[in-house]
Amino acid sequence: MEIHIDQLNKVYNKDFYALKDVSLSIGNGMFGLLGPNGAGKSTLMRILVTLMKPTSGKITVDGKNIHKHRKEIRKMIGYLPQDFRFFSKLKTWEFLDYSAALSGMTNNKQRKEAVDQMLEDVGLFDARDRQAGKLSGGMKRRLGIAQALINDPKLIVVDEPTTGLDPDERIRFRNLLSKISGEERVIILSTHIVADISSTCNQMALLSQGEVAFQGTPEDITEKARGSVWKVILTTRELEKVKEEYPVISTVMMEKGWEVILVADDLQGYPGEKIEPDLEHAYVYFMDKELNEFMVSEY
Amino acid sequence: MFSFKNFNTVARFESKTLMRSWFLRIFAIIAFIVLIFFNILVSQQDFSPRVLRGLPTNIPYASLLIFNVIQAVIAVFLATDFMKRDKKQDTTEVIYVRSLSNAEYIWGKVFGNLKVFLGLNVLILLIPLIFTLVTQDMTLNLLGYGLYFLLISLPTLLFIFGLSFFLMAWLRNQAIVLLVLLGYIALTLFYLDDKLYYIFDYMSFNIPMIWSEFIGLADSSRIIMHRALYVSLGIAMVFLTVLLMKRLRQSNSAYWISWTGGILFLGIAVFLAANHIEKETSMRQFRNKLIALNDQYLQNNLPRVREYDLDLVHKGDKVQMVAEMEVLNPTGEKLDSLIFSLNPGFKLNRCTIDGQENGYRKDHHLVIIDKTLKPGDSTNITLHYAGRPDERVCYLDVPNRLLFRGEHMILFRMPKKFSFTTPGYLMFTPELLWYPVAGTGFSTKNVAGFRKNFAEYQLTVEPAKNMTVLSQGKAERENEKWVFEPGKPMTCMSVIAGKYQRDSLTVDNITYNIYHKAGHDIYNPFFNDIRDTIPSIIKTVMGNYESDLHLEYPFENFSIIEVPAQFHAYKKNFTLANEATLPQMVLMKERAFSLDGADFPRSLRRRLTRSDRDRSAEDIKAELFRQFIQSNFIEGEDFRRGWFRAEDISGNTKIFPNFISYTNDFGVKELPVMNPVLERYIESRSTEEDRSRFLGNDGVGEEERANLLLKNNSFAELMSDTAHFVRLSDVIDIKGSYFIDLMKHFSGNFDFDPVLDSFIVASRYQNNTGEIFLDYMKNRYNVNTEKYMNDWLYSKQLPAFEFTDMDAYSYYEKERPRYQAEITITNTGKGLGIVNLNMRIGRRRNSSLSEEKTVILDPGQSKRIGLSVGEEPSMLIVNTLVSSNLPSTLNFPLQDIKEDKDANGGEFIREVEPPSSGDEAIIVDNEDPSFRVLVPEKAIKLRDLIQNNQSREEYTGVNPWRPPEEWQKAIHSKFYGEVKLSANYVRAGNGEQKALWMVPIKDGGYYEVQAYVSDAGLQPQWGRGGENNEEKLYHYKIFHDSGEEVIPVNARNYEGDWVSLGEYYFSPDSAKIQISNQSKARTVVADAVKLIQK
Repeated sequence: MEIHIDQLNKVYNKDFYALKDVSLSIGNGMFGLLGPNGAGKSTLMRILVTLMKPTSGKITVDGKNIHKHRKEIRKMIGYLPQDFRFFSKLKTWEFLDYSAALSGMTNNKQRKEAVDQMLEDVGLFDARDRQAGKLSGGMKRRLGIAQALINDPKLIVVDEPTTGLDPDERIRFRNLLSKISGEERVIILSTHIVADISSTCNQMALLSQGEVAFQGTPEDITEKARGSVWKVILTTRELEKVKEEYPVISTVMMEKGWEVILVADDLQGYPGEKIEPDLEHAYVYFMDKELNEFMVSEY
Repeated sequence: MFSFKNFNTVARFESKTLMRSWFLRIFAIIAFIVLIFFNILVSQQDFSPRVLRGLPTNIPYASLLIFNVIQAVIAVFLATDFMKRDKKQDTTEVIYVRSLSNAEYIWGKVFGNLKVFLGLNVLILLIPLIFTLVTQDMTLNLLGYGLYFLLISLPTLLFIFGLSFFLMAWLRNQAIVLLVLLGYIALTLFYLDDKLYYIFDYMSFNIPMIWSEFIGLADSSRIIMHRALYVSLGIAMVFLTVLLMKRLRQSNSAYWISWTGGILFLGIAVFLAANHIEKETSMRQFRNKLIALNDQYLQNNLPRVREYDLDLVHKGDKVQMVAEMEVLNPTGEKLDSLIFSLNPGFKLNRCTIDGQENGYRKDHHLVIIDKTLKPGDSTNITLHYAGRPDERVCYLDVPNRLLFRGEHMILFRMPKKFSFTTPGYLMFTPELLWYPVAGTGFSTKNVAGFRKNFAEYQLTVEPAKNMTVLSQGKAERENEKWVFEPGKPMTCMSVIAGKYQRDSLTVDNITYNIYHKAGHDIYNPFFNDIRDTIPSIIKTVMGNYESDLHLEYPFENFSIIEVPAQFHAYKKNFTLANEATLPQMVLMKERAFSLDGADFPRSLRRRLTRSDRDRSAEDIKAELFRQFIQSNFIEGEDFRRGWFRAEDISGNTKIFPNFISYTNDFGVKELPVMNPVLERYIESRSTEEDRSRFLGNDGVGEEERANLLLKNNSFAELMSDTAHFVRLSDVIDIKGSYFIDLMKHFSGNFDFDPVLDSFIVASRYQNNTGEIFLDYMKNRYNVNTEKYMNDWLYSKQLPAFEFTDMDAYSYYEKERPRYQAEITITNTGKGLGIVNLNMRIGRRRNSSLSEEKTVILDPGQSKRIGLSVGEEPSMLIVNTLVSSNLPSTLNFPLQDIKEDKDANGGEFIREVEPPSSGDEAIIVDNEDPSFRVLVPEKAIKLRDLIQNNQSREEYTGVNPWRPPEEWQKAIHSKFYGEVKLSANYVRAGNGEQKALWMVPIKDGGYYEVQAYVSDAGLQPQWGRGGENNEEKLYHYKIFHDSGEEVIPVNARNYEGDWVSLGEYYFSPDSAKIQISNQSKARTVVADAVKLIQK
């Protein structure tokens, strides 16, 4: 399964580019789409799941033009939108049943079995008779992924799936996605939470202001930040000064003072040590150095 | 291709979601409670209106009507809410990405919602069904349940869902859509109403859909097309919603099908609407054409049909007829062609004269036969025609907009049918022109329509199988045919054929029949146990009635015939006869469903448990029977035309026309007005005294309106002018009373009635006896009846009465107290005047009227009248009949009557000198030319636009709660006036409205200025006394030589008094008094001012 996005543009009001010349190639497995708020991630997602038409450009899924073969493409899609609310009056199993029926599962027995299995997989079997509106945040999100997966789609698009989830739920979610990513399918995970990508994705792209700033593996982007990530202990007064000069990733109060991790090519005037960068460090470094988007950290 | 699986899936889950909506659940619960209470009220409560359940199908009809209005509103909320949820993309995006077409989705949503509401409708219908099954005296007809479900619920829901979805998809704002839809619902319910024959009535709340067990729906094709219009519109809008849906389509074929479907169903809807409108407009054009043709072919000299031999064959929804007529030329002029009116729906196939084919033309409803007839000659004409009669020819004098408009009956609008031609039922009344009638009917030049004509009739009818035929006279059977020969000359003939059952009995040589449909016998089951008593009841009731009328019932038969519920008869101005009371028969609506008096079991129950606990059931049944025939066939309702009021009235089953309207013709050659005048007089012998006079007569009633018309028009002009047609009945009333009182005056009160009665009997079945009657009166009483008739018809001069020197006292006559009222009446007008005086004896409910005294006054004449009664009176009532007086009837309260020991009292009428006018005071009333109102320029108000320059009435009554915003003349007994007790009044404001009296004075000097002040009940009762009195001030401004003076007057303190405003110096012709509407009172009144020289 391959998705090719070629010179995709989405323009609003003739002059605002939500997406600009976006070109990507996405193969099987988990693909992470990272970027700040307003970068164009959701727009790209919605175009991919045929909810929106681009202004120009082309998208093929398995060789099929996404807009000429909308009917077939939609049969392959599972989609979990960012802010997902339910038909709150439907029970958990009913909503899943609805999705399954619309996905083409016409055999009642088969559909029932699939629904029950999916509820088991996402840990909602015990809550099957509960109205969807009465589920907790995490359970709702699980139901969301369940409806996205019920028809065994080949293209799964999840948009900001872990926002607002507690750590347990988040880990559960990632594990679920990882489990199914091994099969012949594409899972596109759009998020601004770096950890979601680092723990699950083997490919990623970074979107900024509607453009693809980076496409590659998480390791590739992490490598770019090697030697530029510092850990330093500072006083409060020094911390204030450092914040003005460098992108600060984290600050933790220790006995000796503030333990600060920051990004800099060269740290002048402060006793810091270089540390092994992770994806989050690399993301900040990339946003600051490559894209000149200075990030103010308020921790 | 359209996937029904997807469609069903969406529908299934839409239904589930909807059924779990608390909004719907609460609505359903409330609806159930309301409908249960409603059905309890209708089925269980004895006082509930019979019309709601008199027909078995009315109960589900009423239930659905109520429910449908509420559900239309709720459906709007729910439909827009569902679409609003779709707008929330986070919820529906997971559905939108599925592989289903927009059409499957939208249609699924519509169907899902529709299923739930239709299910609710079915459940709602169970309520009346259950109540009908458990209630003893209610009949079940399952057809009504299915019928109204299909006609009311389905089209309404489909339309409102389609419209709601479409508007939401287009406007994408729930608040705006709700506003638009709710506004539309309100508009259709309260304003659009019956415009263009209910075309906007998507809820079918107003369109008449009563079901008859005789004939079904009155106009089934029209109703079905009307409902199909809304089904089509609903479907069209759903298709258009599919197109507007903000989701990328995945099926081009579904897209184009939606386009095609939208346009197709829109086209169907437009076609049906155009058809509906065309039917309405073409009806009006057609009737206008008929009236124009009547004008064109109007002839003064008409042939007369002496004999009719009618042959009718009933064939399904058509008839074949042969009409043989012996036609006479009764005039002194040669007739070059013979004109007959015949229903325009019939196709005339042949015309023969004396057996030979003859030329003719048929122009709509007129048959013009090429035949010359010399004076006194007669000929035999035979017309062969066939077809289905066209009802549009009926009642050409009824305004088109009212003709078929549904009549309000509680929740329902009753359809109006004037005839029936179906395979299972036939009814033709004379109004239908089902046989040829000489001359032309109603037109602008001939408002009286056809002249009465007594002819001998024979009718032969070949009905459809197993049908009973009814007509005037006794029926003879000749194989399959029914033959009727009334045996006496008749003015008209009717025919009814249906599956009837008959019950009859004979009392005093009159055979009384009841004809009803099988299963519709509401009489026998209830009255069977008093069957032996019924003849005596009929004898008593009929005997009393004949005694009251001084006339005997002239026929051998009287039949009450049950007819379809939709049958309607309009009243007429020139006769008290109408199509519901035909010669020898009355037509009673199906099951007597609209008559509360026909609710026999419930009436019995009510009486046994409440008012008549001590009486036996048989006694009460006898009383109910008597009341039923008395109220429906003897008293009935007011015959006069009422369609200028909010609702015209049907029913009209009073037997009275059989006594005189169908047996006598008092027509005078040029004007047939003598018929209604004499009919109404005879009829008034049987009615109870008019108690309306007791209430006083403030304001503008029928008599006042009639007199206002007579102020500028003669009686003859009014009768000839269709512009005044709607008020003509009132004019005939007062002119008729005037005429009768005049004749009584000349003949002496005790002689007139016996003379009239003898004349009626002697002149039965003869044409145009009015002139004979007048000649008789002239010769017997030596009265110049020609002059009086001439004045009565053509004069525009009205009498005007002034009343002075009112006095009341008590005295003793042979040691018994008596009470005297005296008054001087002066006729200051130019016409001969007649006033009727009587006194009200006693108070309120226990009061009665003394014997009426009639006084004739020539122009300029004054008479003093004395009336004497044995009990203390409370009021002297003077009815001026035809006059310039406003109000027409005046009430003079008689209070604190003191004894006059020296008085002799007694009844008298004495001519006296007219009272002197008194020169000291100069009075300017609001009726005088030197009074005027000053109205500021104002912006055009929306109200003026809506009213579209409709003219205001010259006079009104006073309305303290909604006073006018501009000066309006009003009538009230407390206002000042010699003849017209009127004043101008206006809503209080900031002084922009002014009224001015310019008082003409010849000599300069000091004058006391007085204003006539009466609050006439115009100020609310509260605020009396104390500081609140300041709010009721009028401000009079006096313009005098030294300047201006503003004098406040508290109107609250005066109920018709002259109030001094002070003394001022005026030069000649300089006295001006002004009042403005500046006041904290609710209204300001400008009546009269007086200047008294000092």
